[in-house]
Amino acid sequence: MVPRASLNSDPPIAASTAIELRGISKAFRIPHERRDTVREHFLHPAKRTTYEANAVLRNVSFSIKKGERFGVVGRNGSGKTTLLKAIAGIYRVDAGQVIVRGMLSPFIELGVGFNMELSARDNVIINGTLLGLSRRELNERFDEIIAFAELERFVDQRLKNYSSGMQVRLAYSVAIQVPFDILLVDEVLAVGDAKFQQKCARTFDDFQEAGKTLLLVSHSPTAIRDYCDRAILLEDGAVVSIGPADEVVDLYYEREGIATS
Amino acid sequence: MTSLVSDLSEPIPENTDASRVERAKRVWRLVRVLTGMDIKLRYGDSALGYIWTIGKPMALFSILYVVFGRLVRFGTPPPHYALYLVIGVMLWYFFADGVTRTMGSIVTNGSLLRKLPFPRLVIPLAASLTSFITFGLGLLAIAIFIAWNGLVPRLDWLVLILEVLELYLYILGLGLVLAVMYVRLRDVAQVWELALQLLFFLSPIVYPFTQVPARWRQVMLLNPFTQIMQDVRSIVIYPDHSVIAAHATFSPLRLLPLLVVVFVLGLGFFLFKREEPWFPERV
Ligand SMILES: Nc1ncnc2c1ncn2[C@@H]1O[C@H](COP(=O)(O)OP(=O)(O)OP(=O)(O)O)[C@@H](O)[C@H]1O
Ligand SMILES: [Mg+2]
Repeated sequence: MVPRASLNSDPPIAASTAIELRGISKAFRIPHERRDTVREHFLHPAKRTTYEANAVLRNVSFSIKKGERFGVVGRNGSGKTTLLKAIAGIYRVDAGQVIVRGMLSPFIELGVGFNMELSARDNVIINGTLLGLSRRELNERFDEIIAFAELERFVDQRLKNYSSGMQVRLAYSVAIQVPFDILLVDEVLAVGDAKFQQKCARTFDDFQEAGKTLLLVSHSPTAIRDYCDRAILLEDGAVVSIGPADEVVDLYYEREGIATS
Repeated sequence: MTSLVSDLSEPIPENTDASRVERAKRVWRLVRVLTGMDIKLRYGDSALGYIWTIGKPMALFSILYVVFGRLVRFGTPPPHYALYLVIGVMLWYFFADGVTRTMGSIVTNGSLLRKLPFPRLVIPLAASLTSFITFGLGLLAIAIFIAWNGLVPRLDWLVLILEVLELYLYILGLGLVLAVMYVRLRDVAQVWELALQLLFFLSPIVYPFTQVPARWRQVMLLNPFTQIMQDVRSIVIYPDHSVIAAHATFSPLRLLPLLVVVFVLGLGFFLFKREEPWFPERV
């Protein structure tokens, strides 16, 4: 095991920092053979499960300032979602430190985990509560959440009757109505229609004006260029480049051997 | 402003700048909301749903009553056999349903765990409370039988609250242990189902406990469920403690099953706390 960094001996973080990652690493354990049944352990009690570590984040360090809009680009499987989950505290990292200053609202993997059997109303209540809204705040913001997602006609329908775009709209709508200082966004623009994409873009501008921090994962080069100040390129879980958003996107395309549009 | 530092020493960082009391309040609110939704999911909003809560255990009761009260008999059935049986069946339903739901709760709510940070414990708490409330609604059935048998409530029935609370904690503890195992081992649910069938007959639900040799009774009483069920029966039906053959409600030996509950609950919390950081990547 990697020695645990002690909090006291580390350099203090600047007051203007929203997120700071100090050498975080994350590996998933992949068992060599599946031993995930009681029967298996009963029949071969002495056999030890052996694992292979699949390193998904390798010594990632960077820091994001308050009010900054920060992009993350990289191939499928390069570790972008894992990075966001580590920042949100959903995954525990194997080494390093994640420092987050401020309230965080995560919008990861296209949603916030809806229950398909419940109505939009009930799902908003569950997710809003889990994300920290009090009952009063929920009452105050409920209409706004539904209005932003433009789902007034469908509030009492079960989520399973929603199109995937409608689900994403609702999820994003909840995520931005939670009081937050930092918003983590994983691919919201990929599913929404043209109008909703434009609406999202407008919220990004509003957040910047309000001094909020945005961490945006996107496969759209224009989105990263337009909405982000800085960006990183992840390759195989390691930071290959960090810098102004358009330069990082250019580098990404160059390394992939594609001409940038 | 909150400062949220997560390194290896902190399991699930909390997304609020709250004191302990505030945090406990938040957990309670989450549990309440999730339990409400759980009940909604289970029964819909209709009266039909309520009939189902009572219907299932009552169906089991009817079958057992006909078979063991009328057709096959273990010696002489104890007096007030119908009430004896209905208490056993309702408690059994609470136990079986509660542990099974709590066990499955983490896996069932995988999509929430994978996407949102929140105190993980609220999930099994809500699942077990859903069963508790279901049981509470079903108490009407027991009340009807009590009235039918002409029994008059006494002050010492207040002890029943403690007995039911002990059963709930036992259910929660077992459920937590199994929930943690279920995340890793996918056939835990099947094994538990088998164990339940065995436990049903290893508990004196349908037969009088006196039919069991005294030596075995001591072993069977290590299952707190058995002791609690016998306590409830003795308090409600047999105040002179005849027929029950368990440790008397206020004897020192009664502490034994209670210690089992404390141990199981402690183990459940310990395993849950230890394993919860890994739930999102394993479910
Ligand atoms: N729970 C898990 N268990 C094992 N491996 C995992 C788990 N979650 C992610 N991985 C692995 O981690 C790697 C990175 O996944 P991640 O989801 O972070 O990629 P990504 O950059 O978000 O990709 P995409 O662009 O497709 O969204 C992949 O190889 C994936 O297989
Ligand atoms: Mg991803």
